Amino acid sequence: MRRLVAVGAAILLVGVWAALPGRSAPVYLPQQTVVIARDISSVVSLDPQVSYEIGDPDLLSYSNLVQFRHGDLTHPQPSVASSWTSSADAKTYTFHLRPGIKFAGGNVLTSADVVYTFERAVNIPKDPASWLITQMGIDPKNVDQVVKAPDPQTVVVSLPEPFSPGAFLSIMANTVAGIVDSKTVRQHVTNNDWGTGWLVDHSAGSGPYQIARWERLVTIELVPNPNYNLGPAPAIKRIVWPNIQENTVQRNMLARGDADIARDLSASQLAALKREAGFYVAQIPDLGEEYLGMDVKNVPALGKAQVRQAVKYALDYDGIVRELLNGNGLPLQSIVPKGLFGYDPAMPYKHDPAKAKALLTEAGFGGGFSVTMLAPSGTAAGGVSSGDLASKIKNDLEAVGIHVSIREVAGSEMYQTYRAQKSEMVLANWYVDYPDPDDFSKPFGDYKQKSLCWRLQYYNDPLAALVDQAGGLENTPQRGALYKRINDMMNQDGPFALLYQPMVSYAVSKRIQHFVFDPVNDIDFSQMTKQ
Amino acid sequence: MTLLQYLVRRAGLTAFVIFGITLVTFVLTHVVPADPVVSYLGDHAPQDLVVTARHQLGLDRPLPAQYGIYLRQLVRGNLGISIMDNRPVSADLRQYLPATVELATAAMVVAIAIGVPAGIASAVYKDAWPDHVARIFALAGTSLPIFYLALLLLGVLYVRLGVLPGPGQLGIYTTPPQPVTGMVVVDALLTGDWLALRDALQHLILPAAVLGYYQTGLITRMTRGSLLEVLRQDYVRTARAKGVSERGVVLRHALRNALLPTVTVVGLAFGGLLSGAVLTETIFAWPGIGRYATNSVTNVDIPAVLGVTLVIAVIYSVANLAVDVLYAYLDPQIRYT
Repeated sequence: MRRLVAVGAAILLVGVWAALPGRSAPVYLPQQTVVIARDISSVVSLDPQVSYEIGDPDLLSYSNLVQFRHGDLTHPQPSVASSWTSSADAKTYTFHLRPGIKFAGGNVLTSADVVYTFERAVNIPKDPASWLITQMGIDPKNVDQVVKAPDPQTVVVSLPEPFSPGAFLSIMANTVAGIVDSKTVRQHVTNNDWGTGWLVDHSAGSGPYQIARWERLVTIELVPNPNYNLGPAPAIKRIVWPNIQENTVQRNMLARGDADIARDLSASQLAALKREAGFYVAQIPDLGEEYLGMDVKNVPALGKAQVRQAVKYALDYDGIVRELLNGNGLPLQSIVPKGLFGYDPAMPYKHDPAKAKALLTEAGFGGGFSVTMLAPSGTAAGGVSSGDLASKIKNDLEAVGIHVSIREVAGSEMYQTYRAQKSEMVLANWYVDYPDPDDFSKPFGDYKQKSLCWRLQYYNDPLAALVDQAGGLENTPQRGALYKRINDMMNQDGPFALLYQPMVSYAVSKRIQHFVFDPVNDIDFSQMTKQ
Repeated sequence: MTLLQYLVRRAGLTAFVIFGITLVTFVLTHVVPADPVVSYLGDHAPQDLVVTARHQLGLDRPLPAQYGIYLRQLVRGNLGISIMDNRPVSADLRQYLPATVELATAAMVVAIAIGVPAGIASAVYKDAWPDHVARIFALAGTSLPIFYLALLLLGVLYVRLGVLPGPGQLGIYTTPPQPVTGMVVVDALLTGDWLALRDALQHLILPAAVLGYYQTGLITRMTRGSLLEVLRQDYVRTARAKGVSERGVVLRHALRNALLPTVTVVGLAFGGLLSGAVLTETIFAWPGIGRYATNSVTNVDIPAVLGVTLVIAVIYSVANLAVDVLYAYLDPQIRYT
């Protein structure tokens, strides 16, 4: 018994000591540190040529040939390249590099590093991001011929086929083209892995920050690059992303001051936060869209354009945006979302059940038909429950006589069925890879890309030709007119009912000043300060 | 049969069980209609990249061939490479398991420290107020959903009162101790990093209390029930008749026998906790194996799922074996057979 008492007393003492306020010895002060609470479970690597899910740490650790200024996703600006030229046939691009740019490790950035970066992107096996480069016709066999360094300050990219100049430069601003320090990476290559094993949790870039710590599913931490000379050093010296999956816990951390920014709050949490004095909510339209896809072969009724139009008239778009999303989304009926060149503000479809029924009757399906809708478990774009959104769509379609069975499955199962052209109707979304209309018009309109419209077995040659033509042009009025035509064709005939454009929302403590962000560059830390 | 012979026999049986588990898990992960390659590459990857990646991962080979390769690697101690993070699964497990061991151990300490005394009080004062209090306490522990209790305690003790820290193993401004075992509390102790130790213990209190509370309920109920049964035995009556004090009767004569079922519960519960307290780890951002397992299952990361399953099977087997060995220690009448 005496032993029991002693053990109990020891536990109590340790508990009391532990509960006393603790001290720590931080390298950077809280005023220099920004903590962003968000779910980072999807991050599998911080290697810029591999990373695909959350780009912020790579965007801050690496520099690219070109970049987009915050708020302007239409005009690429100089970065590592001080200037560039492109040939009239949209095949050859020549970049002139700024002299004296230094990597975090101290090496000077030259054209050899750019060439090595391209080589990595196309050679790393099963690389999720590689297709952004390989779609331009660059592959492991031809990369040494396509990307050349005639001198240390010049890079020439000679594509085998013409590729949209807007899309090309947009991809050059993507994390996949983040330039790595070839000398440092080569020192860490093991088993011909192109240094992926080392770059998974280290950085070798010339951006304003470098990776201090990454533990998958746990935390990402950046600290300043001491050799950064592409711009002024940012005031924020340490950025931490703890992996906080629960949005209630994100909200709690914000309330206690343990987080400065929260990324995944629900629409109702954001609405409540707007009424609190210590915080503000920053929102802008995300470059993405939630859509309902209709397979035109697997369901005979959906093979008829009138039936697809009937589906589009049957949907209560305002109800979805207002009631389900609670303002966390915008109405959208343009394949190219708001914020990009080629966006069309027209809204040809309004909730009109009578017209939907008339169209169904006209198509010979006045008695209705049955269809199975695949919906991924979890949340849809804009933070709404995917199941709730599917139920709302089911109600709307059943009101005009279309009987819908919902199958809510894991995303990996849904996409397997969808990709195998075996779905009937899918509830899914598409987010930007690179800020060019090509990134939306190709998957939605060109079946030869074997992407979204191909998965729904929608093969429209005139549309595919238009998409191809528009992709090859600079952002001119002619290109704008082509996207207008593409959008009209998609709305009239296409297999997609566009539901909404989600908002991207950050809840921010008022300790943070100069909070600027956009969906491509994400948060701008160059101007940010903290009290 | 000696203890050593018994352990060898059990180890042989365990190997057989683990082989069966790997086979069942392997088949299950391959028959589910989900594609690990699509999950890894994402929705945007073109079809030809999916086909190439599937080939590079060896997922286009016949299933028996894939299983054969897996077993050959397993015998060499290689658990394979995670599809998601391209790291050896064994390295992932080494990273995530220590945090879970730390949390589960702390939770069991909480559960035993509260559950056994509460069970004893409940039995000794049967139908009196201590019994009622202990029963309500135990009932609440076993019936309150863990996520609710976790969010409630975080809301009160972290957000409102600010007496305990929030999620994670350490505060943002605390430098982690030099890694030795991977368990932050132990590493801080071993390296004499007292600031980190204090912070780690503070961070451990809430998740351990939440996770331990459920087990506390079970242990309280089990201890009460078995102690009541033992207290009705003839030898207890004899002890009382000989004039042994009530405290001596309960603690010296009855408790040792009454603890047998409790040991079973503790052993299995500890095994269960080690296999991943998914909700607790998610809410408290605890970097343990539970979150890793969930993430791996969601992404159909077959090598990772197999690795986690294997480790859990071994943990359960060891926990069961430890319970059986403890039985014989607590009750010398029990023999190894």
